[in-house]
Amino acid sequence: MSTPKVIIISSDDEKFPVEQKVAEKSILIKNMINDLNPDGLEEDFEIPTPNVRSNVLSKVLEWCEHHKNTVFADDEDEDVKKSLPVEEWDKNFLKVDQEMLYEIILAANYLNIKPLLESGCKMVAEMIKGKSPEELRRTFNIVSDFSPEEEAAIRRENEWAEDR
Amino acid sequence: MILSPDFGLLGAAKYTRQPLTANRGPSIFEIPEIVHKILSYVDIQNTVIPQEETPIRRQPLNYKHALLIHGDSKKAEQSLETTDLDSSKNFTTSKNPLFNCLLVNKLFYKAASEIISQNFYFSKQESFGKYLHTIDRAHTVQFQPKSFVLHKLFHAKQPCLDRIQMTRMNFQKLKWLELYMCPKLLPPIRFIFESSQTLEKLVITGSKVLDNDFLVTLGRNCRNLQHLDIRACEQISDFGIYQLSMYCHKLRLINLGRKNKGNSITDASIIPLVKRNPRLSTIGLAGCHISDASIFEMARHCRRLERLSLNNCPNISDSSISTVFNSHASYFPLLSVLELRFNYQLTDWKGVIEFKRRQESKNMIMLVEVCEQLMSRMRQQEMAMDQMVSQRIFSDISVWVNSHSEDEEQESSYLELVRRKRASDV
Repeated sequence: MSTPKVIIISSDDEKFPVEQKVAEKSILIKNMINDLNPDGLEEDFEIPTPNVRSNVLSKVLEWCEHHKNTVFADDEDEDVKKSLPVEEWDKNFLKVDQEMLYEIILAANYLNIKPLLESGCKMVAEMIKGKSPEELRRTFNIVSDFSPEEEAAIRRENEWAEDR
Repeated sequence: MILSPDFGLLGAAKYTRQPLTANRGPSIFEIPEIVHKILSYVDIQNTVIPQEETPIRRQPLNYKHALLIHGDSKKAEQSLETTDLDSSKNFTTSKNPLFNCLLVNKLFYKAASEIISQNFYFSKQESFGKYLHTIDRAHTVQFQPKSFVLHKLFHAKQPCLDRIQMTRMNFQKLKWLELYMCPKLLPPIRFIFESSQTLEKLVITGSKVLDNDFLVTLGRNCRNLQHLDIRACEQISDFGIYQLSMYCHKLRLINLGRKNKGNSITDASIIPLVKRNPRLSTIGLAGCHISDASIFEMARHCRRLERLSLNNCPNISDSSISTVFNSHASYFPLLSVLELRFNYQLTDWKGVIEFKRRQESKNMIMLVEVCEQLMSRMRQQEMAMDQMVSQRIFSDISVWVNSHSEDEEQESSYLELVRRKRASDV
């Protein structure tokens, strides 16, 4: 008997059969498998991910496959981990159009895949450098909810932060 | 999807949400945790808190000194050049992108101001002044700093800090308080009271106003202090350090180095201090009038010491230095930097040389910083020691060669002899 697979189903009903090890990069899925199969997997196990479209899911699973043997330190030494640059493979992997990058981040957030979420957020953080507030809104498709007076006040009262 | 109808601002109206994302849950920029995460990376990539770096090696005093250290003229020149560059380094990042994030929208404002509020730092008088003007306004970032650093604000006066004390800024999370070369500033007591549980690092250098009373209050309140650098604060004397040592027992670094008033720091405070702080890994006492007694106590109590600066300590003598630094004693197992510049009274360097060799034989890097005159003294003794060792080896060999016949069995006993010799010389 072959080892049972985890079959992840995208929002548009595409099925992705993967090794259990690969699927368990997602803490959400890992917990689900453990909760529903306390004695271990005996047969293929289907998990729907209604928030994730197939093209995004296939990217995310590509990442999980690549990192299936990577051991991520999950210690709480946050500051050290935060200051590391994005790993080279992840960097190339995340060189996708912005919309896709955002969706990968959303999926990593929903599926609880911390290292992927981190790499994604670091990529976005790098895009913030050197942009004016207007450019940031335009780049990220964000609508300002400040009144003109509020915006002026924030600008005026935080001028000191610009160059200290 | 909730969209504020109020987006008739600036150019933003042109960018109403596009249908592409409209039917697909929120964008990542609408999820507070993700925005916070992204901006915390922006912070880490861009925020540089102004701080003097500890040099790995001190700059040579002059060309001849550099030549003695490095051995060839090229390296000597380099060592003098690079240190020049370092000292002119400018800390301020010209524009921290977090500031622009404040202005994007309300969610970005909230996340960015929360992150900015964790580190309070200024290294320019002008922007510090601007900040003080806006301190109570509604839209100024409200600080709850983990670090509070003022760097080289030579002319800042006490009313600045008193003014900060009057605001809502709170210090309950403060871990690191630094006033680097701000000679006229003394932290208001509220800073110390509020941070009594959290404060770990205090750096106040070159202060004209820091006094023993402050140290006493500090000691009584902040018992978790690990890092105390009060270089060139000449009002500080034995009384303050002694009082502090009654309460603070977790110190890892203490620096009391000074150019003037060295006679106000003596064994009277340093002995109790080192006795009660066995975790010390860095001790700076340049210019202090401690005697051999302090060195002996350090050797006994500070097993974790890695860096020891005794530059210009006129009251230490060969009697301690040649005893505690010695191949047979096992003091200071972790020591890797020892500074002894300008101690011309030291003449016996044999112990230090043996100590350095012992550390290096354990694959540690051991740096002995001395000035030009002491370095040539040390080199001479080193050479004499080497000569003596090779003479001894030579005489041992000649004894062996002349007293034995060509018996093959002797091969092993010769190796044995050399091994024994080597062991006793290390």
